[in-house]
Amino acid sequence: MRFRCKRADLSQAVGVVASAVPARTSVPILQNIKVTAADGELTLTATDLEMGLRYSVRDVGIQKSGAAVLPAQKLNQIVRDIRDDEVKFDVDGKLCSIEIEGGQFKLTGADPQDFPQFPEFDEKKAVRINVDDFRDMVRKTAFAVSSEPSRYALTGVLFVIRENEARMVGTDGKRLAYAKKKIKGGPRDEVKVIVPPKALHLVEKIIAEGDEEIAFEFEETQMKAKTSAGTLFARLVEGSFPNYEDVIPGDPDKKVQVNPGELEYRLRLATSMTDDKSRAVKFQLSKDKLKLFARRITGEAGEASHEVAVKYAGPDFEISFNPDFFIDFLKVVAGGRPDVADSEADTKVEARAEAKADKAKGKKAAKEEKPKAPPPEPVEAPSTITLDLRDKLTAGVIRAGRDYIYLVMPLTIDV
Amino acid sequence: MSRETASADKPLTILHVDMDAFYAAVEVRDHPELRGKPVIVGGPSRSRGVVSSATYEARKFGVRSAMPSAQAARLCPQGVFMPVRMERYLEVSREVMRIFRSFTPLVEPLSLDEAFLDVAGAERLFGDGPAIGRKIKERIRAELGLVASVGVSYVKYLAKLASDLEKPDGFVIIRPEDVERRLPPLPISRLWGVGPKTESRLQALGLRTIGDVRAAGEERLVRELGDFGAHISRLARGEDDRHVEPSWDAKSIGAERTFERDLSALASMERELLEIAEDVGSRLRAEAVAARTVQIKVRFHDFRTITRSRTLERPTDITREIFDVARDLLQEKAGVKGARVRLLGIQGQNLAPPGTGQGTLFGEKSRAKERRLDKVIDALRHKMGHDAVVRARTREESR
Repeated sequence: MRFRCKRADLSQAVGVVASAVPARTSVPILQNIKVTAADGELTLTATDLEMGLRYSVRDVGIQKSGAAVLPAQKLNQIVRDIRDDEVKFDVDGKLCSIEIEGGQFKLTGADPQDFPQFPEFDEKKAVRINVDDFRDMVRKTAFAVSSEPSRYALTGVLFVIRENEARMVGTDGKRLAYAKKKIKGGPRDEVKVIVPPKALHLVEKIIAEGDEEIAFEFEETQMKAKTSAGTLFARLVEGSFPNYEDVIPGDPDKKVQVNPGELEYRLRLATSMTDDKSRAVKFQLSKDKLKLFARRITGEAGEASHEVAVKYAGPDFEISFNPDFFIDFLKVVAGGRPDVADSEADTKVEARAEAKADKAKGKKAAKEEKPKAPPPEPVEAPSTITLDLRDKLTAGVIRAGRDYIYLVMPLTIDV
Repeated sequence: MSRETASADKPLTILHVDMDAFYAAVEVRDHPELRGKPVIVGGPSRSRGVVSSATYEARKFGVRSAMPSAQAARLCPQGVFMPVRMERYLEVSREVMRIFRSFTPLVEPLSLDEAFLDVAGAERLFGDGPAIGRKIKERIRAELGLVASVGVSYVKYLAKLASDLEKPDGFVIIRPEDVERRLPPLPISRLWGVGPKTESRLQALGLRTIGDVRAAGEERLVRELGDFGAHISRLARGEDDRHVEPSWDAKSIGAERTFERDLSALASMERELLEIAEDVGSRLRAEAVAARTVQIKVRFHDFRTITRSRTLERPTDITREIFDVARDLLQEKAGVKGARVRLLGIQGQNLAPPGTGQGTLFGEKSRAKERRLDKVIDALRHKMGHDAVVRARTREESR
């Protein structure tokens, strides 16, 4: 195999598929990326067997088609470090040489025959979702899943697609995030699967500029997703997802309207005075007033008491919550992403953004500049959210618009 | 003993009360025909059981707690072996603690049969520390028919030391002015925290008595033993700044079992674990507390012992939940696959009032069901004895 291609394009592609390479594995070949050159296109593949990514680079000068399996970490490092606009690859058997102006690298790879097969996407079974809708639902729900392996079904996001509606639900059993979108041309038979959040984040990575839709194919135990540039497969989470609609309490008699930015600001202030071990903020409601109260009894002891102007006409009422659950949600409402348990996801997203910026700048892509990529879609933060409460043992229901619902179970604790 | 005076800055308000041969004494009280006999509470002598407690009549033969029952039977062939009835001891223990709490809320139980009390503030009602100590001893005898040894002093260490000095039926006061006379002749094993290991280290340094430790000086001990050296040299001077902590945190509730034959099948370990979880759950419920942390203990055939624990979102007193966590820990963290297990135990730690903590969205119904089931089992066992009800899972195979 022999080809030459643009460094920036290759660097971006390697960055994308590298996020599917397992950090630790008992199957050494999985720490490699498979590179195939044919028909003017490079195809890069990586997998940890649970999920996998395939990503293409176009407009490649191929002198001799073929395939190679190269160590992912070294390859990634090399294509990021070099400053040349173009690189040349020459692979003979397992031996690969990467040539640039005034130097070369030699790498030893593995036999392409030994690399796991990548499942083919069946276009006939495709279910299509709008890119913005998909990103928005992932952002609104994936942060809420459980990181507790013993609650296996809750470690994934429930993904439901019907004829005219798509939904995602994430919950760890203590709070629940539920987002939905109106769609057109969905499947006649409902799709209902549980997807690991990492797979959803990988789908976001293969979205290329100009993509409007993502095609999904659902099978018994796995999901595939396809964009103009890449394909993903991921094993689904098995198990039964709890009945999330049943736990949304009806008939709240206490309805609060509040500005999300103001609530987030005041909650953060109060949170500084919670105990490390049992984080709790007491919400004290009275006519048009919400008082947030926290007390710290261990270590640097103290109290915090902060008021938020709200619209409230119900009876005086007190209830305590873990403020972190609220802050996660309020971050999303403000257009951000809460910290996800999989911290890897964030750094990889950044790597991609950087690569993308390089690509946009074309030939003179300078490694030293690392401009932040603009957010995929601007989010308009609503000026009001509603918080519905019933009693001290029932979940609080927060709504931001009609299509985003968030439940938080209270704490029963003395603050 | 000196005159009953105490310096103002060292009031005699710390008590340590220790029940004498507690489990064995409860058995003798419940079975009057055993009075005066060498009674040994523990696992049966033909198996791998160990002695939990022995009357002073049995101790004359050299029987000690934690000794294998078989050895106890050899030392004391006429000994009367009684099985451990933990629930009964718990019940009596609660009575004992109730007596303590009628004098002061500052009670720090160390186990079922001993506790520290801080009676500062109770003196106007009940008299000074020594007077309260005598009253407690008398009430335990009159109301429960049991004997306690009491130590009275101005710090915890000295109170604990005092209760042990004239056991059984002891009553010893250590005043500030007694320290110079009483402490130096005592062996170093009387220093709180000095076990056989440290003891031999100290002996290697030529230190045999508390007097030797005092003479060696703090500087040398710190050089030899680090922080622990500073600690024991303070104790040797009769200094101890620890308070009586009545907090929940100071306590834990646990149960463990040593098996007659090592277990190697995971299924049989789980069966045992469920019974242990049942014990721990019913004791938590009896005390109206819940455990935020569940810890398991595993002892392998070679006596290697490990503990693994998990802290829960919300404290539990539900047998099923305790078992589920314990089983998870056993399967995933204990490395019992292919091993031979000699002992299993569960401990509920980080105790808190039940029903507190983070609420959950799912599973509330099944949790309520488990709670009702626990209640029924507790009530039946209370009325008809421990074996009146057995969970189906534990019956699959007779042990």
